[in-house]
Amino acid sequence: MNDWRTSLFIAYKSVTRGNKSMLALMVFILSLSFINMLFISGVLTGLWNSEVDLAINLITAHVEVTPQQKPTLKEFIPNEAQLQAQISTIPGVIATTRRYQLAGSLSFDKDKSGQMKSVSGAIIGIDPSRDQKVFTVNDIMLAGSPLTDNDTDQIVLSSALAGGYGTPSTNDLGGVKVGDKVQITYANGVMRTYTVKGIYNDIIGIFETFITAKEAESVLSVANSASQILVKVNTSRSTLASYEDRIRTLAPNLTVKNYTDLLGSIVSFERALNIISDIVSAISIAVAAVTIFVLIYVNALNKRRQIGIMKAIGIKQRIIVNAYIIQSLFYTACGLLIGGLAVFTVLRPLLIAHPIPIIVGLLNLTLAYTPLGVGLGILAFIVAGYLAGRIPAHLVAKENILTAIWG
Amino acid sequence: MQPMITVSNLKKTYPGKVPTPALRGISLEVAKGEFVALTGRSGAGKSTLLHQLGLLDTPTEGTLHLNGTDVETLSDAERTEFRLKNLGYVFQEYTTLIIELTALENVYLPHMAAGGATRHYREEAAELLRLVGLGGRLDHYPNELSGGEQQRVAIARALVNNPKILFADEPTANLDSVSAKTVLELFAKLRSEMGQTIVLITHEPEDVRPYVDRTIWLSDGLIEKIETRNARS
Ligand SMILES: Nc1ncnc2c1ncn2[C@@H]1O[C@H](COP(=O)(O)OP(=O)(O)OP(=O)(O)O)[C@@H](O)[C@H]1O
Ligand SMILES: [Mg+2]
Repeated sequence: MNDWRTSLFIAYKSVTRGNKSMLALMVFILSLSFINMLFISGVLTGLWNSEVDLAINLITAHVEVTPQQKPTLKEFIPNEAQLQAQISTIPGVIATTRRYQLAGSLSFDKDKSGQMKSVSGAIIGIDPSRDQKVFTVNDIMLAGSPLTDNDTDQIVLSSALAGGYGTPSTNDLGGVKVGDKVQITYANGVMRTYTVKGIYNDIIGIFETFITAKEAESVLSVANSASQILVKVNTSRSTLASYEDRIRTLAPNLTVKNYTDLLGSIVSFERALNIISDIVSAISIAVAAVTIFVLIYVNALNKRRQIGIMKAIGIKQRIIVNAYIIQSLFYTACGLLIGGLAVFTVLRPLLIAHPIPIIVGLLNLTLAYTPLGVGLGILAFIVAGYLAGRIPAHLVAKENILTAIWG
Repeated sequence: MQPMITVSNLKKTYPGKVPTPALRGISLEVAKGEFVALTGRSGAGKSTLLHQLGLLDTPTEGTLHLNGTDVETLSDAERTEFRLKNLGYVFQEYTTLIIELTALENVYLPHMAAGGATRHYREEAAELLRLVGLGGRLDHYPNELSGGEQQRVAIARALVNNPKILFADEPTANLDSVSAKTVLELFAKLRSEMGQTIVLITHEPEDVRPYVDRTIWLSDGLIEKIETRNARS
């Protein structure tokens, strides 16, 4: 108890009477190291979150319901309107929509020469007014306008399929414009010609063509059915699993999946991001630790004489070492505080107020954090600060007194 | 009565390219309450002897008992504790104050470390500083004090825990004759009132003669002669 009081006293005097520019430099470097660590891990986490959000908003929604698989495989979900109405009553469900999945090939005669270029792809029948409450495809229109519910003779194409945007590819139609006529031959043999109403920015390469559900029902000769029901939920209200469970009780025969099941292909991307993030965090922690260590070590070596004198007059080694640990932890805490404030009260709000786009309109640079990640970073800094205070002071304090004082 | 300091065949050789035998076999007893002066030519080994006695260094050979304790049996931490509780040391160099502490704080730090109560140690330290004539310099930092003033702060610091033995290496070297006299009188008073044992190094044996019981001459790492007060009178 008394030892701590003495250590605190020595540490306090040492900080307040010590070299102010040294103190400022030390805190500055520590803050920078912490900012560096927070920034890099925040960007990587943010990138991953945005990537997932993008996929949810454009491809998977939160929960997907598909037709019965057992005992017999069914092609469609029956009574879709009733099921959607039931799902909508689950608290936390924001919107639902149905989609028809069709396959076919699109053909386009660019030069009106009779030479058609054909590309096969997925054709999706949507209820535009409902669909736009679940998906954000309307936000990424490059040309023309989105479908409305009764547009049976019009389609919306992906830019990747239309061609003429970005790098040309053998999988595109060679440059379809809004107003052009495109012929679709469906897998069941039905062939129809449509006017292109709009083209959306197919940034993640989904190559989908949208028709209205009304048109899909006419092609497939079905009604009140769906290949998929897609559900958007409030994820902060309940867990995904609990939404899935509620939906399963409504439709026990159907298949219910959430986006993490559906995003299998980008899970490896997450793993890669996590590894990069871990490595980068480890490096920035190591750099910060070495920085604290060197600064405080040099500081302690400068104080060799003082440490020697304190020992000579009978101050316990433990009191002296603790005084240095306290000082070191003080610098570390200042660095954490200033760095943390800079990131959480300046940098992050600034990036939210003035987004820096990575992909314009789709993906912005954001800083995202998990409490665990930030906690581990702080812990690592504190451990480094502790060791950086302890080791050099310990080394000096166990030196011969006269050598410490006179060199 | 048990002597306060018992030195037997103490030797110290500084290692190095050319090893320096600074002490070549010192045997000595100092009684409790005795005031002893050590003198001799520069380089005779006076400071080296005082370092060994003050547990600031370890002798190459020989034994040392302080207040009945064989110091060789003490661990490093125990030696530190022993210094804090039993010994006061004034270095030959006056630059041994903690630069980040005021005069007052320098004096009370050992008292604080020994567990003194806050109010108590501040008053005690202030009183000691007044005794060495620095009542007006309590809040000065070492770099705001003259060499002689720093030396007197160091003397006050050495006394703060009422040490059983006070070692002082030329404590008056940087002082004018009036201040030097004040310090010597303070030592004599501490000795007569508190029974403190004092070993003091001086280059002016004549000046300390009225205060001390014995004067020991060192030469080339050996005791050359001892003059006691009785023999003198
Ligand atoms: N750290 C050291 N390493 C090597 N030799 C040393 C060391 N300290 C002292 N000496 C040598 O030991 C001898 C005794 O030195 P010491 O300091 O004890 O002398 P002193 O009697 O106190 O002299 P002064 O009156 O000048 O203070 C000297 O020859 C000195 O050169
Ligand atoms: Mg000397």
